[in-house]
Amino acid sequence: MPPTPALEFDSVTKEYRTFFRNESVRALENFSLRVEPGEIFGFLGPNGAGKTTAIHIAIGLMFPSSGGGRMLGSPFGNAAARRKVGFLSENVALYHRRAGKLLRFYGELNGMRDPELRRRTQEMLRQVQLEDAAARNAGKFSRGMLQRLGIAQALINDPDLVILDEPTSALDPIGRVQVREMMLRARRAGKTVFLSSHLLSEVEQICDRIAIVIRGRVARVGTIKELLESQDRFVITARGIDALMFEGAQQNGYIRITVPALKQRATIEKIWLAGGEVMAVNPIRQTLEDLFVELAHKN
Amino acid sequence: MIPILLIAANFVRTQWLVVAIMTAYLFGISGVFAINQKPGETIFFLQWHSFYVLFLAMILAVGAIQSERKSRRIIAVLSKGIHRWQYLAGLLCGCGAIAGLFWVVIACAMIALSRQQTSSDRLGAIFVALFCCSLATAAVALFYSVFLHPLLASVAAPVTLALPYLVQPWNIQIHSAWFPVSGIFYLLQDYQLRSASEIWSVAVSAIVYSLFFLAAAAVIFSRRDVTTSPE
Repeated sequence: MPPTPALEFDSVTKEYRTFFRNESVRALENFSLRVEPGEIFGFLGPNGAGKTTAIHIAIGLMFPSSGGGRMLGSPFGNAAARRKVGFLSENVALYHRRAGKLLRFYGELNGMRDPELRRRTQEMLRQVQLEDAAARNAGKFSRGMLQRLGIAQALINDPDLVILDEPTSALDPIGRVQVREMMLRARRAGKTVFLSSHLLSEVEQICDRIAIVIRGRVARVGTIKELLESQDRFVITARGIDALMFEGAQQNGYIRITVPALKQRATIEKIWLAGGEVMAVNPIRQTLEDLFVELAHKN
Repeated sequence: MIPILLIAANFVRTQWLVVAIMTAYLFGISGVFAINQKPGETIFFLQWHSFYVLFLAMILAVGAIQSERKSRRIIAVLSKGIHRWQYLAGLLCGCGAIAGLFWVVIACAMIALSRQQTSSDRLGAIFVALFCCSLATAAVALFYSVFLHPLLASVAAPVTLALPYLVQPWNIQIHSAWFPVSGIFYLLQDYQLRSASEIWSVAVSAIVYSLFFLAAAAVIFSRRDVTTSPE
């Protein structure tokens, strides 16, 4: 029996309607996705693709127009399930209170009590390096500090599922590395991380699987290897031939020829017949950015 | 119960400026009344400030959800393991706590001002009824603010609360038990002549009224999107 998914969207459609004008905008359309427990899942998409809408539906801040889903085995919006979930929203907005008290407030809302709450508060402040600022008012924090505090409030309850919407957008490079390490630590502890980010290099580095959402639909989903390594096209690197004859690109004395998989063997034989030497044959590996831009333009 | 109290305490804390200004005002105006005290003014003081506090409870409640949504602070709260009705109950309790604080200040001023002029026999019961009515006012305002813009809600709430007065020109009589907030103004016209059972019935109906509107607000709020996607 397959394990219960940490997060599962089942044909979710979300339509925003304007009250006075009878207009509607579809943010999600038949959106289906399954996030397995224990993985770091990257959630990508251009602005307006419906990422935040999908996340807010999962958390229960919004309701789908049709379809549904489950979070940690419970239907979306279940308060008991949310106690095991940590959520950091895009544009962190917190009350203007002392950082330590604020963390305690959010922990208590999740049903935590002392001494566990006290221990976790200290631990989280240490992890996000705000120990010295615990007595300072969050209203006077810089954007980066607020982001760190937001991460701390999301993780205060030691959640089984962490949903992070642009967690490193306001952080400096050191902060980004620390957040990355926190996510990797969470995975090692068997937690699931659902990461929505525009930082493709970050996603490529740490995510086990990713989904690219375009116009409210999942355009691609899979592991990084599956998505970036094409088995349809190959690059043949050769030397001792005329680049024009093979429509290849010359680089450092080598000719690089891109061919479909079906023409791979014939092209190699043609190179040999022309007196050339085949140095390497590699599947094309796109960067995540290439794939992202390609899908965005295609749709 | 703990999430409700946490949200209530947090709400009171976010309204510290209103609390500070109103408390300072109440102490100040009580001082003015104490210096220039004339017969009958103590009751006028109570009637006047009862209206203020009920109005304040309504204004606090009417903008509570909207300001949380606009500042996006509601996201971090409702993404925790609490129910939406607990959030609403917390806001209502917060409004009630602020109103309660003002009732205590007004009650203290009344006791100090009344001295020989007025008897304080009914005063305790009147203040309990006034507190219950401020809860009812806040509950009605909260109910409308769940699905209306605060501006519209701040019109709809007083219309609902003052319905018995509004229908009077058509000779329609509505029993005060159905509209406790308008009932309390009737009692305040001369509270010393009213019986204890009249005052307590207003208090009880105000509590029932509050619970009814809180439940109705919770039902509607549990089906509404609290955030609109920033995208």
